[in-house]
Amino acid sequence: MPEVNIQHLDKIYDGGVQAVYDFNLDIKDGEFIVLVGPSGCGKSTTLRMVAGLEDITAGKLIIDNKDCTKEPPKNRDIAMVFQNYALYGHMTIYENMAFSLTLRKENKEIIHRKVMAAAEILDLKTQLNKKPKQLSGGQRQRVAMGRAIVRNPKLFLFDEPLSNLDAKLRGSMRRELILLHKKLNATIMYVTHDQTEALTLADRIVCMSMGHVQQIGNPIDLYEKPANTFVATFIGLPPMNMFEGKVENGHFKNQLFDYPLTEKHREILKDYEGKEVILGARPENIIRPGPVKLHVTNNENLGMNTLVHGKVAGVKYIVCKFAEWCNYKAGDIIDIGFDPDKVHFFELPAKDENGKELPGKAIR
Amino acid sequence: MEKKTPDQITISHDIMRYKKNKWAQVLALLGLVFNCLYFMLLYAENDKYFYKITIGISVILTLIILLATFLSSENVKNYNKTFSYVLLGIAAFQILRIFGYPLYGLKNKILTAGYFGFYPTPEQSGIIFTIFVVYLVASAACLTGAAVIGWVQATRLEAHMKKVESGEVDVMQVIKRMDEKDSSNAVHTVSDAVLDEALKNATAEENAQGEVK
Repeated sequence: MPEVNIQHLDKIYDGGVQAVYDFNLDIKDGEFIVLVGPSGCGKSTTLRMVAGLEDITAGKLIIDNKDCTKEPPKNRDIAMVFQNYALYGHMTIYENMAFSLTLRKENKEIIHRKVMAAAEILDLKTQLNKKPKQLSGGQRQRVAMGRAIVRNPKLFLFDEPLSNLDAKLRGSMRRELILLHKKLNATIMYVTHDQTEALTLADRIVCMSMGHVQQIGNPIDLYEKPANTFVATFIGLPPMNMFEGKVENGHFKNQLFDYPLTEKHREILKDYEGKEVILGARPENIIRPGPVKLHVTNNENLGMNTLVHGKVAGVKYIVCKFAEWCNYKAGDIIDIGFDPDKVHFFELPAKDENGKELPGKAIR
Repeated sequence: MEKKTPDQITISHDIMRYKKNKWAQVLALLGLVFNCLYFMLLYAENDKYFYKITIGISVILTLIILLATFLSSENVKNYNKTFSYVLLGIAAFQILRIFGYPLYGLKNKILTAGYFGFYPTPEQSGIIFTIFVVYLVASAACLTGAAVIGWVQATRLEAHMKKVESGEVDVMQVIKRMDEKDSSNAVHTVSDAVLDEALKNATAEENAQGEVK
């Protein structure tokens, strides 16, 4: 499997709208890269540029040491799997999987060997004589993957392949994808807006917002060391709770609460004395008791944990996740704090030269 | 031409499990087309005797042959041996038809149908008779070809399926063997042993991380 280098990729549409800004990424051989971000952040556009379905406005795309920036899709040796499967309804599963090879006028025997090998990997051997409409969503998606596998491409591209499946099937397909990646040792670029998929599948995640790359790193890094407020709130469910406040005399203060900082926090925030910063705490890192008063609005027992929704000092809405079964009622006031080892600090959002708001950078 | 190895033969037989017998189907349909050309010419004849007495029977017969041929073409496509015999029967009947109205018309010099701007005189009946014979023989030949190909392929598939079901042949093993010999045309996968090793290492790594935490 080859390496892929994406250098300073820009996409500007005819109307002047810029969808992707200066995208840089080096993908290693056999790596599973997940592009994650909200709708309209440019992740699918980036993938389509790599596939050759969109022109690259500026930048370079190098696949296996070959400059593919201007190459048509058929010369890039990549395979793409779409959200809507894109199977031919009038063909059998076998014919669907063999289609690209038939177009290349491959020998029938070789086509058969490849299709059967892919069907074996994907557990589709008993479905080969059926038509796509006779299969379930998960099976259809496997066929779409099979069609990609038989081509032995240099790079697999997946554009939200699990979005059409129900939650249970999505879970099992995720596990199958992990196994498939290991089995094929394939280099994969995978687009999703689902952070669970991103965290479970990726070797590295590329988190995007508004066409910009916000952070590239392995899943645990994005979760534990978010680069900015966007990544902090996007990765993790429920999202991280954010509080604006000032650093004053070893305390984080705002109108809602006064939070004493630990020695470690003071060291980190020594350049921010008297300045406004953002304190971030994940719902699962909220502890009891603590110096902050939470007015409970809702208590959701999920079996293995409880989500407690409430307003800090009756004003700022936050969510807490407690490991045990809780029975708080609306109107209860509980004392909460933040796990000192897991609290994050960020700068306030800044503005770029065009007046666009940038997420606040992490303070470490 | 290079002689096929036993593995290649197994693969070519296994392909039939997933591919229709299109040759047999196309030949059967071609036979049907020649039959259509035959009856178009037949019904262009303006012989009063034929129109009064036999036209009803002829139309019914034609319809039956059309339907039976089409049904057979669909079945031989799916490797149904029985319909190869039906096609052979129809082919034989097409030959017999030469000795029906075409021969009667030739003897009585009544084959005078206008055909593509050609209007034969009663003395030229032989020309139309020849065209009738060509259509019927061509139809019979196509149907026979379809029947033979259908029967041979169906028999091969039947034998292959018996071997697969009895475990005498394991297609996946054959493919693996061929892939080992010709890895450039194989789906590139990590072997189970390597995968198991990787999974073992990953689990050990996770456990070690857990202990550190």
